[in-house]
Amino acid sequence: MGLYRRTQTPAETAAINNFLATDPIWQEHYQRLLNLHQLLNQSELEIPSMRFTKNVMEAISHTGIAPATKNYINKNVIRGITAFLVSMIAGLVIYFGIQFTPVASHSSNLQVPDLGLDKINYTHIFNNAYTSAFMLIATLSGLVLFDAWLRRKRILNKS
Amino acid sequence: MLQASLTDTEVIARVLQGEQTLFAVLVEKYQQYVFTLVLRFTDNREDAEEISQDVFIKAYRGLADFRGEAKFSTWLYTIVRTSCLTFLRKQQPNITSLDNERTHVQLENHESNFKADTIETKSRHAMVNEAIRLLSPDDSQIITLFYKGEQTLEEIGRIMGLDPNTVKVKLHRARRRLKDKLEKHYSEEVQNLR
Repeated sequence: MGLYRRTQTPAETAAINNFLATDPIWQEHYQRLLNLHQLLNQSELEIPSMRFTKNVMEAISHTGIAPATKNYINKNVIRGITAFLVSMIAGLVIYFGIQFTPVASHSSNLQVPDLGLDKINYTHIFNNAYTSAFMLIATLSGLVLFDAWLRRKRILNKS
Repeated sequence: MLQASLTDTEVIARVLQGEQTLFAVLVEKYQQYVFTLVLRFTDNREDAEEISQDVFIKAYRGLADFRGEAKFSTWLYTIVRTSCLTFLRKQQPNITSLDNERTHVQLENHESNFKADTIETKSRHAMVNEAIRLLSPDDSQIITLFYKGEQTLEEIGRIMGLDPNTVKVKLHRARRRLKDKLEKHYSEEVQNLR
């Protein structure tokens, strides 16, 4: 009667033991479960063709083991990208925070505050030299990463 | 003899050091488990063999990524699952879920191929395998991993990307559905088991 003990707490096990010792319906169900377990444990595995191992070994003889992922992912690159994104978000938050001018409400306290989004000069943001510089850096970084990825892929294909 | 006494971790360490031929030890050891699992996803033995070989090739190429946090078999079965799902996605791009009703309908239709006279001559093992094949891929996979793949609920959870408690519930339901299939299609044999 050990099938159910794999995942139960001791208290649950004791309660189940009690049911199994006293309740004939539980006993019948448990016996059926045991039979099913026995049947499943006795079932055989499927066997592939005789050449299976040979085929695999022939296929891997033309290939190499790829370097571990952790070895070729440079943590500094990830940190750099994270810092870049965080600084972009922080910059935007600060910018919008400066632009924010709360409007005093006269009719109700529940009125949606005016964020003054219509007053923001978007052309000023997108024609800004800093934004252009950021976009340029982001594009260049993307191209460098894409180039690195293509190189790695080519090396893996060669091996 | 020496190779047989090596643990999976030792074999992997030596393969990583350049002894490529030792990988055959792992292939020999796990090919039947992998092949059986793949056959739970596809009925075609040729497809299953091709996917199984692909699984071992992927395992070999990614061997450096095996960190030994889980058993090698658990890691290997994760590759089996992803490879099978990719295969199924390519075969039937419209399938959204493995529990899809359509899958069940297809499998139910498949059941009609069994004739009463041939069932009588089937061995008990074959009967169980046939009944497992009638289940949905998820159900048959979970039963195979638990009973034949020697995986714990936690390990199955890791392979299938599920919580162990969810695996426990799914296993229970899969067992119940298997019992129903056995009683429906092999009632005489099941009577003998009671």
